Amino acid sequence: MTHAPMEKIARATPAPVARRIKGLSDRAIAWIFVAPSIFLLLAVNIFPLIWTIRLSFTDYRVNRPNRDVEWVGLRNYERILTDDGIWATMQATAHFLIWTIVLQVIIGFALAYLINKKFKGNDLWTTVIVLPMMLSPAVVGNFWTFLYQPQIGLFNYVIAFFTGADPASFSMIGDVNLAPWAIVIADTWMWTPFVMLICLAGLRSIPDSIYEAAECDRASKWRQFWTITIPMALPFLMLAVLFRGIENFKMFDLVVQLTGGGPGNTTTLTSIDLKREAFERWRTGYSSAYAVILFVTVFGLASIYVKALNKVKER
Amino acid sequence: MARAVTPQRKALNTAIAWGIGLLIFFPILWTILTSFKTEAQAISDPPVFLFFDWTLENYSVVQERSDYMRFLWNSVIIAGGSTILGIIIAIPAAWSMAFVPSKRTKDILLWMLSTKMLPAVGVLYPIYLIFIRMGILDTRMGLVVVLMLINLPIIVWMLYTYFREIPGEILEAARMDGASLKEEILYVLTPMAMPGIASTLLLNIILAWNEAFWTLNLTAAKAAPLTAFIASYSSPEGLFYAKLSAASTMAIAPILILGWFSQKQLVSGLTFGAVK
Repeated sequence: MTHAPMEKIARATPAPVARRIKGLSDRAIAWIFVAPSIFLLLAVNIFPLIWTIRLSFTDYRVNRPNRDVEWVGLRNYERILTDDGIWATMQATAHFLIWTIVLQVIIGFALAYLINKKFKGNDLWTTVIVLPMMLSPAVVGNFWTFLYQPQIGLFNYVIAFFTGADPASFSMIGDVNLAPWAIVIADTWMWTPFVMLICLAGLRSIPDSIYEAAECDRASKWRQFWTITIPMALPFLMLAVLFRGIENFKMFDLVVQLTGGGPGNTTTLTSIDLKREAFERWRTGYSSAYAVILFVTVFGLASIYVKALNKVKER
Repeated sequence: MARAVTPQRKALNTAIAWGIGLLIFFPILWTILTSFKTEAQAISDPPVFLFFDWTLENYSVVQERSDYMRFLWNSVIIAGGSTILGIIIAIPAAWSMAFVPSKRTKDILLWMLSTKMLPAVGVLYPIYLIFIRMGILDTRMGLVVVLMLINLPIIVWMLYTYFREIPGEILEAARMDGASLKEEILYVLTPMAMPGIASTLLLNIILAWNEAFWTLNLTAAKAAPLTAFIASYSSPEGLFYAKLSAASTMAIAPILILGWFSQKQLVSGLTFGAVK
């Protein structure tokens, strides 16, 4: 075991290379090391992004490559921002985003708080509850479609069992009012464990001694919760919200598999709408502007959020 | 002690936790059970839980209709290849950000994360064109490259988080003893950060395995992985739920098995290192 590394060290780097490397400062080497990653990310993200931004000022259509491309200035952006359909899509996305985050944070935190300390079978339990996140959204969409079937679906059956309603009387994915909740429930099932695990990590990182000190000062449980537990778990909680927020803003696979954006347009989230504009209606220029608007929105919101997160961490 | 846990409280904890665990696990269990039912039993009212005639028929039908092994093999190559390639590129980057931080390090990390904020559809068209021009559409190599690039920010971010916990003094000591930079990273840093690297590896294999958008849009027949296999069964025509469940079970089985054998690293990876 100890032999191989020693031998390698003995052989060392060829002299000229070593001299060249030693001639560089740590900083220079650091830049050389980061460069490939930055370059690759530039190539795959920034380059297409610039391409997309350029297209967003034109009326280009992929399916008509021979037509003259006209420069239309900001018209695409103007049309998107005044389109009622797109605002409805934004609303559907906001509904999905806000409710999934609210539900996942409340349920996730409450469960983590209830469980908190390690218990029998803790490790096995953790493995069981992370199962949903390991599955492909496409598969999850598939079996929730099955669970949501009226009459034969297990979800309807369970709801009917507890409320006494007829399991065939409602359809989670066929009803205009229920469909937005159907996707919220499926996503909440899939990702609450994630929020819960992060909260658990936060709660378990609070040293007992702080609670003991509070107890000596006769702080009530309620007071301890608000002045110790919440502030100390907050950075963890906020990180979970950041990850879920970014992911759910882009939500595509799960919802396409579950509802396909329907019924009507009630579950057409922005990325589904974008895909339709780009690859069904083939309005490339228009959809490029759409993509840019979405990116700016997420990036703006996330930047503000990360600033707030850093402030909370520093406290 | 303020947080003394009484036996009753502990039993209650265990009970609540396992209750939740079962609730979360149930839809998956239900899918697996349904895959062993006949089509008639799958849609029976009231639903049957365990007492039905177990059958393997669905699996043989699914296997006959589509060659499972080919999809599986594509998935293994694409997920494994992209992750390993990504980690090789990311280790030096994470090393320099963790141990030679500059004023810009935070900005670079944030920028890397921001590349994950663009909806994939937004860059699909340029990437599609590049793929056609390079002739790598519907090849495994093309997908390995794309998925590696897509997950690279996460890999760098996670490795950085894990590396930062390793005291820089140890690396300095190695250097004092005459270790070159290569040896420092290969024989000191990498072994010490192995649990973190394993977690990163697992998370990204899972992300690449489940990635449906790019794999569906950039493949046709040759390089299609399991996501395409599943998508081909998702049309609700005829409502063959038992067969759909069998296909779903086949698609998730490899990941469940992988997860089972690497529980600790997996949980750490899935929570981006928050759970140790």
